This record gives sequence, C-alpha cells and structure tokens, in this order.
Amino acid sequence: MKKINFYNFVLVFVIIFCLILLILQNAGVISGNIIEFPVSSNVSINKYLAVSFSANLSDGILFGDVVVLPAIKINASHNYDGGDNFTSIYITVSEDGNTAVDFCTRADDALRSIANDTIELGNETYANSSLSNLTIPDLANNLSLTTSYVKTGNAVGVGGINYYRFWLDVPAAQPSGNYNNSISFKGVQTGVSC
Amino acid sequence: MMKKKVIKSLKIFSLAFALMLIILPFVSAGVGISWDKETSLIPENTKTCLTYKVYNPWPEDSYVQIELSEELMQIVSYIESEAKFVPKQTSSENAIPVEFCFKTPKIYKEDCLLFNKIICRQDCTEEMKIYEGEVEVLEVGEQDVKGGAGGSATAISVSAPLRIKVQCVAHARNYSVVYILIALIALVLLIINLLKKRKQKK
Repeated sequence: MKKINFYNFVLVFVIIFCLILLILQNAGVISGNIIEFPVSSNVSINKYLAVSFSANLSDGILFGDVVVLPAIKINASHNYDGGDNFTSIYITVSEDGNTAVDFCTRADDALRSIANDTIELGNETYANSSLSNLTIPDLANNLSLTTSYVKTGNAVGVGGINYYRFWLDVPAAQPSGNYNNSISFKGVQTGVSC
Repeated sequence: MMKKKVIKSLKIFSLAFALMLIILPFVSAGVGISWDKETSLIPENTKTCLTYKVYNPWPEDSYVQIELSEELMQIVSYIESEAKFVPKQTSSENAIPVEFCFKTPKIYKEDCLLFNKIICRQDCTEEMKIYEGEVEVLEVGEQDVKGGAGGSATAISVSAPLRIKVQCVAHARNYSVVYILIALIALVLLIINLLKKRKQKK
C-alpha cells in the first residue's frame, strides 16, 4: 500500500477548502457583483395624453410683409381668421387621453435673418386662453416669448383646446429681410413642471 | 358605352381628389404618449430597459422621435434614434412601444482592502442618487415656415416625467480573490511536489 504524502494531503485539503469557501461566498447574498436586475417600479397607473396643432399652427406663425416701421403689435396672419373672429392658432387635447394637459412654450432664438440681423424675442409676444372670440386671447395679456419653457396653457381638459394669438413689434431701424425662428409647444401632464 | 364609364370614373376621381385637397389643410398630425411608470429603482452598475408607448389618434400619419432630458442622457446607453412612423388613428390602446435602455453608473463608494478594487464591502451609507428628467416624444416633420415672408416655425411634443433612483446594494467584504489565490498557490505547489516525486522515482 502506498504511503500518503502528508504534504500533498495538506495541499489538496487547502485547495478543496478554498473552493468550498469560494462557493459559499458567492452563492449567498454576500456577493456584490450584480450584472442584470429586474426593474422595480413604484407606480402602476397608466397615463396617456395626445395633442395636435391646428392646421394653421402647424404651418407656422406668420406675420406677413411689414412695410411701415416702426410697427407695433402686428397681428399674426391667423390671429382672427377662425369663424366668428376667433383665432385659428390652437392646440387640441385628444379625447383619447386620461389626464389634463399643461402646455409649455419656448422659442429657440430671436427672429433672425440670413444676414444675421435679429428682432429680439422680447418683441414677439403671445396670449393664450381656453376659449376664443374677438377679444380673447387678449392683447392686454400679452407676454414675451423666452428661450426656456414657460407654462402657457393650464389644465386643458381631455378634448379641450388651448387658443393662442401672437404679435410682433418691429423697431424703426430694423434692416429689411425675412426673419425666422422656431417655437416649440410641449404638452405635459397637469401639475408637472416644464 | 365604355368611354362613358371611363369619363364617369374620371369625374368621381377628380371630385374625390378635389375634396381631399379641400379637407387636408384643416387636418394636422399630432402626437401622443402613454406611460405606466414615473419612478424606477435600479441597482447601480446595472443595465435595464424601459418601454414607453406612442400613439396618434388624429386623422393624419405622423413621425415621432423620442428624446430624453439632459440629466437622463448621462446614463442612457441605448435609445431608438430613428423617427418612428405612427399611422393615423392609432389609439392609446394600440399604442406603439418605443424602448430605451439605461446603464446605471457605479456611484457608491466601496470600502476595499487592496488597490481600491479588491476585497471590498459596501455599507450603503451615502444618500441615494436620483436622476430626474423627462421622456419627450416630438413630432418630426417639416420645420419650415410656410408662406414665404418670415415668422416662426412650430414644433409640438408631449412628455412624461421619469425618475431613475440608483439603488445601492449592500454587501459584506468579498474574499473570493484571496480564496482563488491561495487555491492556485496550493495547486502549483502540489504539481511541483508531484513532478519532483516522479523524477525521484525515475
């Protein structure tokens, strides 16, 4: 019978012992190397909302040709061309929704020409309302556009409409040219910040 | 007889086409978003995907693009960047899923014995890191001002709030590397010993 080498026996024991410890270490909760994990959520309520521009708003906000300067509070082309003088610049909240909507509005930049002349944003103003007639949205409530989102329409209900009117001031010394910028409208769930 | 039929068909087609031209300017595409979670708790150093749904209950087809706010973009690893076609009259019930994936960063400090990486433990005493932002669905299409004479182009979007809470996973010190190292040393010594014995026998 072969004599067992004590030294080898100890080495084999050490290897097996280490492997057992390794398994124990990683089999339980002790390990911290997690790679994939299911997402846990604390909200399970489904919310949905949809909005749409009126045809004239999706075409852009137009101010036409300005021939006399300075020009103060020029009306956007569609400010009064809806039926009964209401504005045809509006956003509709779909009936296929389950939450009221706040609207946020911003411009990307001042109105700028190809020659890089600008009409400052403070000159482009708007007013909004949940109803429209000859006087509403009212020029008296006009506010200047800004480059960061500002709440405009508030709590427009499912199936509701948010009406807008836009005006533009053009200073006396404004160089001639076509001036453009881009205005974004964002619908968010009522109460959520822009 | 045949000629009369063709003329009649042409008349109907012309009438339909004219009607379409009259109706189309009053119809505008829109965009909708549907979501069922506003907060997600995700362990650090973990990849996970979230699905939002887009729909278009309006009578015109639209293309939409999904965007995440700046803070969420710090941790996003995948987002469908191409514009998605949403057919007209797509109701919220038939909303189209859009997926994006996050990989939460490893942000919580570990207490390590070696090289700041080995034999570590995690106590989770730091404050929970939260990435807060919004998922925005933009209608993409023509951005030019129609009508020539300058003005403002318009864009429409809808958004839903999203908070990603990065979870710290507490764990005890992990000695795996030490066990592997000792086992390897023992294995090497064992092999050397066996080889020596074999040589002695020869």
